[in-house]
Amino acid sequence: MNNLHTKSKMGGSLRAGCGILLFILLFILIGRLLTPYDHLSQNLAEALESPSRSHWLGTDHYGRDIFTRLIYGGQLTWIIAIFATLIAIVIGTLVGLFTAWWGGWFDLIVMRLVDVALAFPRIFIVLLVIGLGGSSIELLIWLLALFSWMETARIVRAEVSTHKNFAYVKAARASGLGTNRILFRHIFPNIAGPVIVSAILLITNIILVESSLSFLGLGVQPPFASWGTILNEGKIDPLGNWWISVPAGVCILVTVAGFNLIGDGLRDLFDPYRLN
Amino acid sequence: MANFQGPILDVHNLCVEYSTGSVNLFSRKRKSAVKNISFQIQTGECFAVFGESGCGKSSIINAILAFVPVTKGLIQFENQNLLHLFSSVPRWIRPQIQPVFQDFHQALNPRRQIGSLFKEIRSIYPDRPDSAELLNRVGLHCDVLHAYPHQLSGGQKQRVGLARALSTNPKMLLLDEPVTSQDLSIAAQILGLLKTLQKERKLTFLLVSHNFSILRLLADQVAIMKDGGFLEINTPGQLIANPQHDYTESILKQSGIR
Repeated sequence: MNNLHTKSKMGGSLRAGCGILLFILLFILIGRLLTPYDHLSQNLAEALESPSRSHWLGTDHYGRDIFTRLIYGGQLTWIIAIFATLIAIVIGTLVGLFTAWWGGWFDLIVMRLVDVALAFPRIFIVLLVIGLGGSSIELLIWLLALFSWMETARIVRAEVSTHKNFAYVKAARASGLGTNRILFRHIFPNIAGPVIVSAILLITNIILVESSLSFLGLGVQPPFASWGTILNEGKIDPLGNWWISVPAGVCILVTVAGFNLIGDGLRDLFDPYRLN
Repeated sequence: MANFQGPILDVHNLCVEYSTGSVNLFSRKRKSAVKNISFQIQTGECFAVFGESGCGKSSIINAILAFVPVTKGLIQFENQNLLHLFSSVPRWIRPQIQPVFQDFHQALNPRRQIGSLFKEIRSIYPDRPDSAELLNRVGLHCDVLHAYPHQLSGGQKQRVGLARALSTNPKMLLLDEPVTSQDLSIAAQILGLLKTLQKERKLTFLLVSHNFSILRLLADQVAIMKDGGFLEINTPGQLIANPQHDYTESILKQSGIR
């Protein structure tokens, strides 16, 4: 019966995604050891220098080293994306779990409110709030999270509505287990796959929305950098000063691709029928 | 409650309705699944409900376990009303009534090893029997504790389901088509096991099935159910020898009993 013990193998896409994100993560965490420059200090004498041995990715209009700004910008982009996604996933999962479990009027009212919230284009509401109230990193994280949990809530609700009628949940209820234990220890592990895929889609989406906002000048404010801000700085002459915006664009692209590969791989890994 | 006298389960005028969709935001279409049924089960007895698929048999089990809201009626377990406290079965009664389900593929959590299911139940009821002992009792080796449900055969899963139901030391088992999805030899083994367990532990059964041959082996009383209501209740022998209703006669003929 030793063969009953299970082992899971990592899929190719999961390995590729982990590899890519590990590389990006190393770049933004320990990349600063490779550069002698500060990401905020200006040196107008070296403004708009193309890539060279002293500035590997060139400099911007204020003479700031692009490689250094990419490292610090990446840190901010990741922090905003991870925290906003975590908050959105926690809210969405809790709303989905309890609306499906309790059902009835509570479910009807909450899910109609979710439909209403989904009907509004998220980026415009965020733009409006930031336009009226100003921008800060904390506000950006909360705004992105508070307008992103609805899809997760719908996915979780749909999954729990199915699972709560499965015999294993009925057996758990009949055994006398409490609602929280059934929801978090029995049902949630079975719906973790869709939640993780949803989180991955969300994190990529939030990276893109944050980059768009920063590109429009409403996200991370100068002199601080995010990848979107760096893209914005390169828009004055994108062909002439390509070294400003291309590396930031590549970072966004590669990070989003890495998360998508991980989401795909995790979905396969969490499929219970692959446990053997 | 050990020396409880009288019917262990008393169901009186039970009605169950399901919502089948919205008419508008404030009202919903409803379908009656169980209509005014009444029956009593004595301790150690096997009461069976026989009827075609969709006649409302499983709704009775779901109503007793409070998985569906009861529209009207009374369900008493050892003289205690089960239909209060927000339609949930009182917590101290739950371990005493345990279900065994028809769909053994769904009856075990696919993401948890068998051992963890028993461990969890023992964490709530520490004085309950040991999991290895229970598995041995239903004819399984304790190595199964390390297995995931998808690594077991249908018969093994049904036995695990039975062991899980026994793990709370219940007085009553609600058997919802317990062997319908099994092949004949496995079904015979499980029925034999149920019979032995009933004698050993003085268990009371509420058995629901659309197979009269299975009911005949276990049941003391059989209720014939049609369109949500009981047509007649009698012993299996009397039903076969002297059916009181045309429907009973026709359904027994269809089952090849008469």
